[in-house]
Amino acid sequence: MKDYLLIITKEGPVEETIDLSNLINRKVISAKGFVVGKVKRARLNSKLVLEGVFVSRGLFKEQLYLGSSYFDKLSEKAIILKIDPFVLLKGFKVITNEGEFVGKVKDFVRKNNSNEISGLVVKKRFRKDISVETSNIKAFGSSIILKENYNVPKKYFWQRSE
Amino acid sequence: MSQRSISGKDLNEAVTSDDLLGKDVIDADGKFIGVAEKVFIHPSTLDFMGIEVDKGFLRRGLSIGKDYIERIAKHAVFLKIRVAFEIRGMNVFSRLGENLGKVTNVELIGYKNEIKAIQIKHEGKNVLIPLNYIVKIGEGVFLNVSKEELMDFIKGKVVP
Repeated sequence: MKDYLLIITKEGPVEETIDLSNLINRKVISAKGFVVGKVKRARLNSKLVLEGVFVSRGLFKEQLYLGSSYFDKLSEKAIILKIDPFVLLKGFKVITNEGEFVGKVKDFVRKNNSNEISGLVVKKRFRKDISVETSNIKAFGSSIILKENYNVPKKYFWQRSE
Repeated sequence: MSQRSISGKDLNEAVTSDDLLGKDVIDADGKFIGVAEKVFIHPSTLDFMGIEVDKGFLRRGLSIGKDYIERIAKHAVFLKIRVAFEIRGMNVFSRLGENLGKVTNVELIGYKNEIKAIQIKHEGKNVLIPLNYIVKIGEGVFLNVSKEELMDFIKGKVVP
């Protein structure tokens, strides 16, 4: 590092700070270890606190803006999140409690701008999309398992919606 | 036509091998492991011991003891555990989030589903990492050391 003249008051040592330019293009890793994407831009607020980062997820995928409250660890190597962003669930298999394949996650019903969702839109070939509320979900993992008492509506695409 | 029974028990609740074989096997995390293809029965006690899972073309099968099976459902067999071997191929991250490589092999304690160490491919070398370096396993493996600390550790720990 170049020599520099320190002009600080209560701030900590410069060695313990993070150079935001080094953060650009670093990986964003979810709590479970999914690589969410790469940091494209970092945003500070008027108090010069890091508010969030824009994350590029690759071609044809919408960018994410992740708030810093979801960061678990921030280093010049990567950002590790406390959460698994709900968008990672897209394409996940949905199965009943009996192990029957219901479909794949196509879309989400969001509560607000947080990482919480209130439901999923599930798609199966030759079937109409079905909405599943999160209250009917038993477990989120490598696939989504529905609760025992949830009866999956079976609507074929040629059936009229009621 | 109803069958006659001399079992001494009501077998209506029982699951048959036909019910089990060919079913998907799903681990505790909801991950598809394979298809049940064999049932193991102890030759003298006649107890159900476990199942063999076909993991697909060119992949080695997997035997799973009955203690690891949670339930046999209508369409699948659910396990109580995440299968340790399934971490093969996962990314390994340092405590700072640096990608250190992928898991190439898993060493277990005996025949149990407990990890003793993992082997990773790091910069072209196979490195054995003991369990006490692992913090968390999800869809990736998180270690409690940085890349530099790992480099210090692996001097002399490289698997030939």
